[in-house]
Amino acid sequence: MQSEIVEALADLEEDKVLELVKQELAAGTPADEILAACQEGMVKVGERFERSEYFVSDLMMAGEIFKEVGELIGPSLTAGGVGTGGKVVVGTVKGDIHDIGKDIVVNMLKSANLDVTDLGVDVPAERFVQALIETGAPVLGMSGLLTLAFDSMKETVDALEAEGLRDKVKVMIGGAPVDGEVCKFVGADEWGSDAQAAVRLCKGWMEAMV
Amino acid sequence: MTDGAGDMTDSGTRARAGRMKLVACEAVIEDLGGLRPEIPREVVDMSLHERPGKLREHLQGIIDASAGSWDTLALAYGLCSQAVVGLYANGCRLVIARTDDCISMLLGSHELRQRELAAEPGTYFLTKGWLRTGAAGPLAAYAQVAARRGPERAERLVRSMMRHYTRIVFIGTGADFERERVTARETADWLGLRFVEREATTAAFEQLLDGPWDDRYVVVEPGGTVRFADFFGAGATSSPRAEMLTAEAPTGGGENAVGDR
Repeated sequence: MQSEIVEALADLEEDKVLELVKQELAAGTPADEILAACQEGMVKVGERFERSEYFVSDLMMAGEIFKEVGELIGPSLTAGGVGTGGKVVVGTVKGDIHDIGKDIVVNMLKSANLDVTDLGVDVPAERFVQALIETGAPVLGMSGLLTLAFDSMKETVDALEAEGLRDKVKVMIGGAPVDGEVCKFVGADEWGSDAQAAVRLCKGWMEAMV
Repeated sequence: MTDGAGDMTDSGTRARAGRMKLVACEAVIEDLGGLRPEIPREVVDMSLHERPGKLREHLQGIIDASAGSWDTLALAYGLCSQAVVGLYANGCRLVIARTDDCISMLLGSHELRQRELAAEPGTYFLTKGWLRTGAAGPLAAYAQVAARRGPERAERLVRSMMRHYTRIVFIGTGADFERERVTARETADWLGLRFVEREATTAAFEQLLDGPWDDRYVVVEPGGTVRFADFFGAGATSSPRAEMLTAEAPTGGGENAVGDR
């Protein structure tokens, strides 16, 4: 049934995806497995987009379906003792209001049992710093779609430095225009090209901290 | 210096440029209208924008095919989702605006773009060129989704993707943008966003073609490669933006041109 979810999401069949997810939940399938299937479907959507079979609006549609799946799964996540895997602060940086990708990352992190503090969009450096202090989270994830987000990401890393937090917090960044060069410019530790990379990075860091 | 738009060229730059070709996407070509008709132009498919890797490949193909025939390719692009990073100046010089994309160029500078977004991060820019190509914007997305998944879903999707936006800023170039202005306004009304207009200037494009190629432009000589650091300096304390704020104003007029010399 999970492979059906992959295909239904790849075909952007919203109703079918949601129906299948409900069935999986009723059958007691763990949330992270369901979301992993959705993520696999998202990868296929990305491939079809690269082959010009899909438009940007189809990517948005996929993001929308993923969000709805996240809402369906949300309650079962809380019931399953979420957040035991460690704390992460996430947000879209100042000057940028795009959150489809960020929301996917948040859902994936939650499904991986991480305790996520989602600060939303257009988040200034000082709010990131404040949240990191309040939660004591050892990982920060910053998202941005616009190239001007690079400056905001850098400002945030600089602010961590100024607060003496830089060596206590691992920083990962993501978003369509982000790559290794951007990572270097921003002063982040790592960057990721998809939501699964965010999960991989977080888990790796959390394990190293134990 | 003169203040009239379009009548000042930097003869030094022109002499250095040699045989020059303009490479621009469909939308920018629309916005440039008849600017510098004597310079040959190559028009690039708008949809490539959405896939920066493909846009880079396509631009490299144009560059490779131009080697030997042209001395300078003026790329009417900015960083454009990093599509220009990695381009190899194969047998000809590349000149690119040192900015995010055509929106900053049409507004007149990085600074003005920054100011608009600092004032309101939820700003969605629509240009005459983008609307004419029909390839972008909420209406295009609606049409694409509605055709295959029905109007109800399309409306829901567009509203969702626009939910953090608060206003549409329309940038019209030339004089013939009434139809596009109406479309932009209708889009704003439909989505319950404020509608704002900004006067466009082609000064940044004029400077791309005429010079002088100051800090606002990335110039890569034959044999070189466009690097990310050309836009966001490696080890720099900030992006080109900060430097550009102090850079000289572009030649030519236009209300939005930066600088007050």
